[in-house]
Amino acid sequence: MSVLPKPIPPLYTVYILRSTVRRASLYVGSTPHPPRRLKQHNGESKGGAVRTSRSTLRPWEMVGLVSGFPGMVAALKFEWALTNSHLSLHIPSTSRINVATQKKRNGHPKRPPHSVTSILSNLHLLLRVPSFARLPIKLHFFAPDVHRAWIKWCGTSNEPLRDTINVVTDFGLAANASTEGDKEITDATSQPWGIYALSLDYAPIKDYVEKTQSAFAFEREGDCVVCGEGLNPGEGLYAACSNAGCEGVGHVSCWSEHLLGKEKNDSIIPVSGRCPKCEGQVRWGEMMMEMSLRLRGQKEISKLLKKPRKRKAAISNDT
Amino acid sequence: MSSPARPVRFDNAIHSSSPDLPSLIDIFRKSPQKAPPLRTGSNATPMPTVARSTFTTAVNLLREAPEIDIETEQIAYSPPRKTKPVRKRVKSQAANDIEKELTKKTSSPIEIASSPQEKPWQKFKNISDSRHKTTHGDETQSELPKGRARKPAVKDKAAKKKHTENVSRHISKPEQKKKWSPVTGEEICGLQEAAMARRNDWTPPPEDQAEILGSESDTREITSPSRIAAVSKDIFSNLYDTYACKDSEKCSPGPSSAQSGEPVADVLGKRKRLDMILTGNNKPPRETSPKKVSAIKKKTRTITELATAPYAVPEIDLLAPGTKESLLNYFDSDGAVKALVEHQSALMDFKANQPKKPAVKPRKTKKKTGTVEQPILLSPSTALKTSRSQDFVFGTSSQLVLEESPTALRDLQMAIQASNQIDQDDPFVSSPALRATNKTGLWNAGSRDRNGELLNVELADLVDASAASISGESAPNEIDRPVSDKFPDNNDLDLGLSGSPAASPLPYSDGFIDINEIDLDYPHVTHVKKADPSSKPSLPSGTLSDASVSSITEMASTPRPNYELFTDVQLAKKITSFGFKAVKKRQAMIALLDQCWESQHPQISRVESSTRVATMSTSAASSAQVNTCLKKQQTAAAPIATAELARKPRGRPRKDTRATTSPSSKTTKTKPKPKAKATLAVKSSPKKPSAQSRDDSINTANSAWLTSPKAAASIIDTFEAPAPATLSRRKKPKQKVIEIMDSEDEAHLSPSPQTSPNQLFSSPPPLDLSISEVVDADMSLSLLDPAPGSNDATASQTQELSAYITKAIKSAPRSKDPTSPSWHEKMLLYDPIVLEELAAWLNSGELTRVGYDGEVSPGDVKKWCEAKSVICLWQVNLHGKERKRY
Repeated sequence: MSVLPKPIPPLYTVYILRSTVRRASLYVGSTPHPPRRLKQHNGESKGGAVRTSRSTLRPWEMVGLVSGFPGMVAALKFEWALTNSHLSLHIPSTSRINVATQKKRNGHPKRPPHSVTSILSNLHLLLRVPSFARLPIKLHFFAPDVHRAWIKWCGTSNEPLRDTINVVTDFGLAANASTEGDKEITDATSQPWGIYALSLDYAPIKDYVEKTQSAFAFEREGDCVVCGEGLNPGEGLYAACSNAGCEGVGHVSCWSEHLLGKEKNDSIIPVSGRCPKCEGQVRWGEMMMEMSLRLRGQKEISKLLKKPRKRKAAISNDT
Repeated sequence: MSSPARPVRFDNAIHSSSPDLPSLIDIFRKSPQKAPPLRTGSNATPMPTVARSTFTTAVNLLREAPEIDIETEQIAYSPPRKTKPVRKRVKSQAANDIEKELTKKTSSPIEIASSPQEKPWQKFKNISDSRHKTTHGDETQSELPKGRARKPAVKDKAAKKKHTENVSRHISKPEQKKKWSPVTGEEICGLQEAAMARRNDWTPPPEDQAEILGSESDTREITSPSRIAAVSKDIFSNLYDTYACKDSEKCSPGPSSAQSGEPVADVLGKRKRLDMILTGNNKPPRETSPKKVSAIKKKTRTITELATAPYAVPEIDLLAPGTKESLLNYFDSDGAVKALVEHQSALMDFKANQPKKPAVKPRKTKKKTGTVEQPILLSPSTALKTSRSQDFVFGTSSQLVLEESPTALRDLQMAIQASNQIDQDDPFVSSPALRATNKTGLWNAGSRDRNGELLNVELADLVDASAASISGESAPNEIDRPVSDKFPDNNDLDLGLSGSPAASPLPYSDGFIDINEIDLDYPHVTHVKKADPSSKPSLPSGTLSDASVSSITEMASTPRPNYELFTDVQLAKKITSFGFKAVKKRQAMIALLDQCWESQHPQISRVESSTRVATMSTSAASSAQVNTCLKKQQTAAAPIATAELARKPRGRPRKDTRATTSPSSKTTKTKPKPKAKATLAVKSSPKKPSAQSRDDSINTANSAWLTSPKAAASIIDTFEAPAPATLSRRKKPKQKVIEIMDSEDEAHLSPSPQTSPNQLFSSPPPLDLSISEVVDADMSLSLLDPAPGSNDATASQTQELSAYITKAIKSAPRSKDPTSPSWHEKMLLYDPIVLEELAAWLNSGELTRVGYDGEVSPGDVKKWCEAKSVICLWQVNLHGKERKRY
């Protein structure tokens, strides 16, 4: 068994790219760093994609993305499935939306061209497919028209998304202006929005990480919150509750059993649930990100928790 | 030098790169206390006595040239001039004589370097000359060396060279003992005195004439102020040439001094003409060296030398053009370096290269074949192979030479070996004890000891070992041990081993079938080898019947080679030895070789399987019948290279075909039916080009094979079942097999590769619902329900297997080491799961622990993972490459 040397990345997204010049041109890609990738697509950096290299179609914008993939492999699978929705095996043939009608010269079926509707419909489909259904992913929209199309499609679709997938929108200036008053406009212009508002590092879970770091450093794991067994430090994979202040630590398998407890369908990966100790809501993706950091990402942790020197004394007082 | 120049004697000349240098010895003869300049090697750069001590212009040199020609006939054919004549007469001192000579020698190669077209014969003077250049101070020379290059190269060199040579030789003889030391000031003064003396004897030519090396007239010239100037010019030119860029050649005529500008321009035409003349003249001088070389070679004319001469390591002379190229041949695999060197040497030695260039080009194209003189450097593996394939002949060179035919020795050796064999078989020659242990022949294979145990049981280990080596993932030990334990029992049941050989040769021409007979009893095993075009089936069958059939295995003189262990090159070689065209894919090659092996040694597997069946059943006829049925099936499968199997090995085909085909009608029949179904499925799956489909079939075959040891294990497990049950069960599948074969023949696809994994996986007989059905159910991943068209039984089977897998994974103990989590923990951590590894782990006892006796393929595992939202990936991608980064 090979173990990944890297922890779960803080952000890995599959994005939908649309040309600002020609709204019908779309592209699906994946990246852990959307702003950098956008620059590459637009030619501001090296390393763009061939399909987005046409200067007549540049600049491009990201209209939506799916974030929260636990790794490159998962994101790439999803990206391919979304790009080749006419071929992907993750989509059962009965539910297939896009069907290839023509064949290329090499015998492969031709891909029907992307449209906003087709992408959104396939996206909806893929989010429900068992292959991706339990991933801790989240859907973002950055363009109002695309979001509207999404809502429209969801309305027509038979099945709803699972409720654990969040759909968030961030239209930046437009949304702010519509919802808030004039004074927000100035804030919106200065604040990053859309993909620039996405956190590219582990900052959102920093407190969580700090808490667990101190807990494990001082060997305060205690007993498994689920089975009550003593937890020997360094002798297993222990997951900790993500809620602030709660130091509920347990075997990761116990945690999973606990969180899956209510589900009948023999799943392996939990999605969310309640901490047995503090009854707070926990999300499996977050917990696993922290655990992977703790087990495999010492460097990232030190980078995350690195503090400016002048405040080091203050922080050390807290722990 | 007032005496006439002696005839040129190369012997006296040093075999050095600077044959002109000895001329200095002539000079120094006048002042014996000085160290003679004569030296071999790069240190020696004696000044030619004929070197002009004054600066001269090109015109001067040119004017001098005809004089020398007239005076000495040899000069026309003189060896290439080594030093550049000094045109300018800046220096008036006699000391410049020496410097002139030196610079002449040094400048000429440099001139050559700058104008290689004009001075090819002075190729290798650079080293010594440049050194001498540095020893001498820079002399003010108004003329650029390139200008000089043009001028003297043409006529002066030809004229002077010979003279210089002569002079060198004059010098060299008496002064050979002494070491060359750099000319010191004292020496220069002494030399200057000598030069002055010479000068007085000599009628100075017009001052602006270039200095010409040649006969004694040249030496007279040296004393002239013009000569001195010329020498000085040479020195400067040498300096300039060594340190200036080559491009200055083009501009040299321009910036040349005003003094010599016009004459230079005037004489250019002449020089060109002379160039052409000199080109022709250059050849003869060079021929002396090959003569010399051949003279040396003539000594070694023994047979041994003759034989080994082609393989002798060429003496590396860095300065010689020939060796240069041979050296480069070693380092230069694609001719790039050679091209570069050619370019450079062209610059240096234009004329000499001209005859060589056409020679080099064909040599380039023949590079791969190499020549005896320049053997190509093989890689270690190819070298080993060629050495292995060589016939070793022992004898002295004389003996070997007398060999008439190249194959005579080989024939002799073969005959000896054959006779040895005969001697072994001849009872009068070899002892019975020896023959008892002799491994050849069926009779010996069946030899038993007093207890009825086979004598040559150790073969079992061989088979085990080969099976173990081939079945990488599976746990062959687990399989083979029970197998070998079982065989003594079977032997007891054996109705007569003699029966088996009789039954064995029965039907097979393609020989895969054997295990199919056994498989008949246990439907899951039926396909094991069937689809497998490779003879890997024979291996599990080998494992099964190793003990009982050890004698039969002895039939093969050589153990079955494990083609998986061969390198690609070895595989290709083997394939060509069978007469097939080389195949690119490694899997294809292995499968092809297995086929060839099987066709060559069909008895082994045949006998094994038939033995097995014979032991199990009481009717050899039924087994024969089964054999025929299965054989037909096999033949249907084996030759088919156009399987529309999916690309992925080891279970992928199953998934893909199922996914890509519309859900075919399913039946509730046992395996054979699902097999037919899968056949149809395969048929309708999108076709790939045959070249690739062959790959697919092979891959599938490999997958089938991989699972076959497990099938074997399960077979053995099921052998415990009572005989009647097996009999009854055997009959049914038999019939079904026949049916299926017909349908398969009609469909004429390669069904069995596809179906064999199916049947393999529905291993336990109690589970009538085959895994193939399960797999068929997985044809398309459905969101919630099984694919339409599949019945409930299939779906339930899928779910059952899935439940077992889940149970196995969840019930596995936690890991104590955070760095190596258990499978469950890995899944929880969202780690990508490698399908092959998980399948191997599951099959290595985990499933049996939770009560599931079958085997799972990585395809099954993939289905399960995708149903559970577990991220999974293949270790080996479609092209056979291993994935490293995830």
